[in-house]
Amino acid sequence: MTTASRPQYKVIGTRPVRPDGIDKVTGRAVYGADVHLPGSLRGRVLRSPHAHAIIKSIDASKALALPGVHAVVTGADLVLPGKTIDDLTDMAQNILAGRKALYRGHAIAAVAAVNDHVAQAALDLIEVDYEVLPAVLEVREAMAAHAPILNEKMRTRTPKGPGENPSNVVAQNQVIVGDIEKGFAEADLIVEGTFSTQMVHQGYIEPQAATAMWNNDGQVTIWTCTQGSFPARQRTAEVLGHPISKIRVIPTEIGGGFGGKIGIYLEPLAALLSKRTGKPVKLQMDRIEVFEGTGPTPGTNIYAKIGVTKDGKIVAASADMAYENGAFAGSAANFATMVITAGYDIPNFQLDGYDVLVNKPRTQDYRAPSSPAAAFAFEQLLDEISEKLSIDPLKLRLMNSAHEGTRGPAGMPYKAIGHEECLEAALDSAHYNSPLEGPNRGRGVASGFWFNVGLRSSMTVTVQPDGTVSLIGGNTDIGGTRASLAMQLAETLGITYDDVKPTVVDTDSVGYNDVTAGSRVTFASGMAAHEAGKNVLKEMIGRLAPAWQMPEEDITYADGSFSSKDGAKTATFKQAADLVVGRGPGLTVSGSVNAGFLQGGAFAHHIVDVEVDPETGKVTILRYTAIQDVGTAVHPSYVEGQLQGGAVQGIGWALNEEYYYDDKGRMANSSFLDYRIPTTLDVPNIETILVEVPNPLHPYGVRGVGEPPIVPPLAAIANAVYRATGVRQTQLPMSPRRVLATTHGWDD
Amino acid sequence: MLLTEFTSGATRVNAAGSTLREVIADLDRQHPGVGERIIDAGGIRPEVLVAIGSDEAFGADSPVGPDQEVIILPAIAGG
Repeated sequence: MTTASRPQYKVIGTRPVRPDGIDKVTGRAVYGADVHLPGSLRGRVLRSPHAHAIIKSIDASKALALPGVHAVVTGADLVLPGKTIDDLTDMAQNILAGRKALYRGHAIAAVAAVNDHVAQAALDLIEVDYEVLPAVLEVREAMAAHAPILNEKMRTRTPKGPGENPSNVVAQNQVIVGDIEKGFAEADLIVEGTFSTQMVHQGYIEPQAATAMWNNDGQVTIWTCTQGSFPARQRTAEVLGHPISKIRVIPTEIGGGFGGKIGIYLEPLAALLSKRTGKPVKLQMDRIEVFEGTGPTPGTNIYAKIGVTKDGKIVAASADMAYENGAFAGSAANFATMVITAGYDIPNFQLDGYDVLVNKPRTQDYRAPSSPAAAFAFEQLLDEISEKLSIDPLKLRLMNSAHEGTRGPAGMPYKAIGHEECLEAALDSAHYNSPLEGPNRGRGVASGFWFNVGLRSSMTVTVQPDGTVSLIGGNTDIGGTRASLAMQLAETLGITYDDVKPTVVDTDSVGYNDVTAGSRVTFASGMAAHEAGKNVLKEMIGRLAPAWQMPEEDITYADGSFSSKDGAKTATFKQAADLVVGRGPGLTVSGSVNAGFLQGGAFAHHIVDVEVDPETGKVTILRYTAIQDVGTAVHPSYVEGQLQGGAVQGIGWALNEEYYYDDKGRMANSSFLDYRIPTTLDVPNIETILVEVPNPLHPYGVRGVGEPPIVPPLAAIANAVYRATGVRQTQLPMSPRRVLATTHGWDD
Repeated sequence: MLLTEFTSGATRVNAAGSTLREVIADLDRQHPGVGERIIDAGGIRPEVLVAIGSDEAFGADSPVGPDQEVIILPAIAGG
């Protein structure tokens, strides 16, 4: 579906082959663990067996005495001159624990040895004296007055000032619009409920890996599979107290990230161990370390309430949302207060979000952080309203939908957005208009929102003598962005996609780029590529002018050709390149943008049919359609892939995935055998409908597409299960055990 | 620290000025300490998102019209 205002392009909207595709399918692409430097040592990390403990002492003497062991480092090695171990930042203390181990899997020490076997053996020889403390694992329990305190210095930040006593509640974030009491007083129907989700992992296939070489002159080179080489450089510099000018980060290919590879874990350890040993040091995690030692997304507990008139108009909403931060402070609940009602035009609401410390890994972003859990609550309440008022669930959402001019809960009025268009596309879809017959089957729908961010990007373009161009960028290519950026540059230059050669380079070789995250690269780096393209044309006109003996103003560029105003002289891009580059100096220009924080927001709507086995509780996805406002689909195949991938991850989150802990805070399912992500056998083909409402903040109308599709699945599937069984699912995952328990009234 | 801690919990306040810098300076006069949380010597702080009306502001000297809203939010990220 394309709106009338969407321009027609020559390259944008086509489906060329991605330039990195051959290397990736033939195994030639170099990922984090593929980096092998001559003389490298292997590193290993000792991790806490306890969820909460004081580290009384660490004795590495026996490990250091083991033949083949070159170095051991601990948190004390991250302390900068003049500081104490308590001065370590949260980031540093997550990389190597300070005074306390705050979760099982927390890194305690790191070893460098001649090979992995010796390094592993050395870990067993490090003696750590722990004083084990009570742990707290559940978010509401952690908020209670009697809960074990993770950080004795923590005082809750509230809208009226800091709390007086130590607390696990990092902050109370609050958004208030209108008059909440008046709004609920006007309501003819009020629905409410409490919903909880479990901590889940992004589930990227490639574990973290980093290799570092610290030269004698202080220059450090780090190879890592990161989502952001420039932020990784900055954070490593801060942790090590080493200037960024002496750190070069080379991003390898990346086997998935979804937000989980924004933070740093191994990079400073590899650098520190290399500094100690004078040799390159490589560390790579195994799957248990990925689960227990990196950053999953928070478990949540959300109480939400919506008031509507008898006609279905929402007049008030409130939510009290508790989000786990894991062991260190984060900000997911802050986002939650800005996204939970973002799809709707609501005059009165109060949203409170609590960031809460628990003895679990420090959480990280995961596709649209905070929004899926918020939608799991809000969109189920909307489903309840639609049933009680006998209003079609899509029409209920449509009559309350946010649109251009509506204030999002963040306070800013929306520019052109496509939630209404998504809902109309859903109403018109073949899926929604198809019958769903048979027992134990149900159809559910849900909407989702994510901000999408802009941030800073730089790209450099070199025109080659044959008229092809090199496009140099610094963003790790996760979702096909080499292709999507090359396509935008080709569009700007009026040349073919095949004439653009995109390359991802290191932090010394291109201007600053923020992370590959927040659905931002095709948007913001696309803007940078467009700027660079405009600068190329300006420079080429500047060089053609003297050759053609006319002022620059008399030369124009359109449809791939330079022309003089009088039409006497013309040159294709290739001909001009031969003239001004083949016979002149090299032509390299850059484009850099600060695209701000906000892209304007993006909406998705999903439809799902399920069948629930009444004997086993197993939920089978029968049909699934993902609809999304994608602005302009630069490469529709990759856009569809993003929608399908987000939906599949959401299906896993909804039905199977959870961090399963025993009563001592030990994760009991830290492998892909026991932590079950969906496979191709678990999901049908995910149908997609691309709604194109051009984004006015981008020259080609681009919106980020990677995050919104993970927002609706949790609620859409829960609504479908309700329609199939008559039982509302308020907890995730909707595993067979839980579905059986809830549908039969058993204790879960 | 939350910005509302400087305003006794108020989420909506009035301030005068024809540029963002002037508005924030007036806000700081009324609620001492809040200004440096929004603008420092380098301009708008990187952890703060400021919008003037429906448009994100990119510089401290961005113009602010009569009766226009200035919206101050925490920075947004994503996965």
